[in-house]
Amino acid sequence: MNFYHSVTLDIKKCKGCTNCIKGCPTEAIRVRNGKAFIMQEKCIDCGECIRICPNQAKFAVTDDIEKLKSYKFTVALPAPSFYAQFKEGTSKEAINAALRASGFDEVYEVPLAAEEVTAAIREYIKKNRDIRPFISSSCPAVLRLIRVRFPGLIRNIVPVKAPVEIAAKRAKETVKRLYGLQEREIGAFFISPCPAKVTAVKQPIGTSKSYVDGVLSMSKVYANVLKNIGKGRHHSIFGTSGKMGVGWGRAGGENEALDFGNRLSVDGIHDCIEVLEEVELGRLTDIDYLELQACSGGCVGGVLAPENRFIAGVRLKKLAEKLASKTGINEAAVIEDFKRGYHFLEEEIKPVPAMKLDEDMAKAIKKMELLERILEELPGLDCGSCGSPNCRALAEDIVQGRASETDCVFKLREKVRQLVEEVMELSQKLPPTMEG
Amino acid sequence: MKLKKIKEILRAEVLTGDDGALEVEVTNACGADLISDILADMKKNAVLLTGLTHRQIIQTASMSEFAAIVFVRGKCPTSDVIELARESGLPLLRTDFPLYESCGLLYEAGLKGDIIARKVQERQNVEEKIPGTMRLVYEVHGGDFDTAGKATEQAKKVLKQLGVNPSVMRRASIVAYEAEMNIVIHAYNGKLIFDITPSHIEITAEDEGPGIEDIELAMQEGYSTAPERIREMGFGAGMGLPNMKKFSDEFEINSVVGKGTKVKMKIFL
Repeated sequence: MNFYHSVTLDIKKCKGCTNCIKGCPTEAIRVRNGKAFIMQEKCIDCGECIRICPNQAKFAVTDDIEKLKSYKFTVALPAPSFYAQFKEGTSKEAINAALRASGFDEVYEVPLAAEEVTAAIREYIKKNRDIRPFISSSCPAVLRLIRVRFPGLIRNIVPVKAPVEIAAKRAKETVKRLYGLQEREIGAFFISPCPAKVTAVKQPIGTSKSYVDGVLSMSKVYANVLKNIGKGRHHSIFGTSGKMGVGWGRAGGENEALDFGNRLSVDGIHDCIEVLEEVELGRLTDIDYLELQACSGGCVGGVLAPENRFIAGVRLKKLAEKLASKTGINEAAVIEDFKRGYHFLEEEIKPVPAMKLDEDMAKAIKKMELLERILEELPGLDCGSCGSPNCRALAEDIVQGRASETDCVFKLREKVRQLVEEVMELSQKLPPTMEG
Repeated sequence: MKLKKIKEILRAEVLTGDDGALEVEVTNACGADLISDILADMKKNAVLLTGLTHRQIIQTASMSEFAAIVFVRGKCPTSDVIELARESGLPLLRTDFPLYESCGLLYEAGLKGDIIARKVQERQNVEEKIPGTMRLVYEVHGGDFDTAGKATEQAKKVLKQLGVNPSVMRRASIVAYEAEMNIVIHAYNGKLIFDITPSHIEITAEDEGPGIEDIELAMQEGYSTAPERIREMGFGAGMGLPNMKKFSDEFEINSVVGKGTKVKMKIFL
């Protein structure tokens, strides 16, 4: 299987330091020959390495704004977090107008779709009582994390599409109806705070094709939009979102909108892992819904969001307070659509067993034994100098033929000492003719 | 091949060694004129073919556990060397054939030694690989809530790397965790053992502890003997043993009051 990844290495900037390998939640990075190397099957596009890299050698590949030209009609799909990037008091309508002035024909507020998704999820967890806790499907990095590291928890994921997908789907339906255009003539562009969303569009999970045509980096769109702020207000033809949807842009917002049952909200990829470990042990069954956000602070903490995540979080809260309505959707109509399957993922989410040592379990057991033996011999300092994130990962790399024991500086030193001893010993020897 | 047969093939003369010694079964041979080569080529039940006749060759051969030495090219050691061999119980033979031909004659007669031995070894290696089982043993300490759950956590990582399928993985995690917590809550000391094969996982939780008085009662959902302070931590809901039974394919529990409890759970892959 080929994997598409937004997170990419700029080989020229990479100095081969080991900062990124340590922070990667799936141990997907190694340093080899002085450069970082991302293992395709393990990477989940969370963007942690982009955050950590001191040399800005990691970046997210996004679509170019030029791509707008390939469509007759373009719709901007700003993430809820986008509305938190501008100074306090900037209304959604002002931001929508600035987006139009930056080259889009219309704006579909993703927060509006988030409200629809909220209603669908609430309905789903009310009706399905056999699994607890349900896990939110909105964060694409978390979905990929579960697929790679917690395949047993795939069944806990709510099989409802993410808000951006629903936004693109609805927008295209409306534009087709109002302007008599073909679907292929309409381009829906997500304005994203994170690389995982790029990957989610190029290589979607739980569906064969995304309704989104392109993903633009929030920080790249930002400058242009900022310039156009204050040039009027625009009421989207698709309607406008209320308090509920806007809140989705920060950690906990999704749970607040849901307003049903026992809910837990966790943000930051390493905390997400901690809580998923617990769920795997059969704990947390008294929780109905688990909102997991890979970025600390939620989507406002995404690596492509230009504003500081704490400031943006506060702004989003204030923006929601100012909004008069709770929601912009007709809930009864949404539930009707939900019942006929409008919001469901079309395909099963399949595990990506990138942690497996071997396809054949008997061989995997042999490799594991070897791994444990090698690990015992390693110093256990987890220093990362070998280019693997810790001693255990190095042992795994040795077993899989990706590294050798002398990649460990301590092992190498031991070897050198042995050699020196042997050389010393040999130097004492005399040929038999001289032995006396 | 008996040493007697080797004597016949090489038309050799016996320097030391009685008839009994000639009955020794030889399966291998080594031909060399360098001590270091001989040392590097240690073999069991082998005959050493060499042109070296000094004392060291006797010591080397007995150290390397050779069954006998055949001196080639008609070479004959001095009487004190023969005496040394006799004392060490090492038969000595002498042939007029040179080393190359001696080796060739024996090889042709079927003394192919190492090639067969190597093949046997390789076959054994392959056979050993097929079943493949693995055992993980973790110590669990009663009352130690700081490390509670660590054994299961580590085992989980191993199971994932072994590629255990997700649903088995989930069930194994749950039963192991419940078993581990039972030891922490109720016992003084214990072990959590995972025996993993390609067909099943067997999890054994064995403890030294108070034991269970009425197993039938303990197996009922909601029944718990956990003290209040433990319940305050969210444990002791009386679901431990029932869950362990529910999520495993085979479940076996034995307990001796005042001694301890042993639970065996099997999950098929």
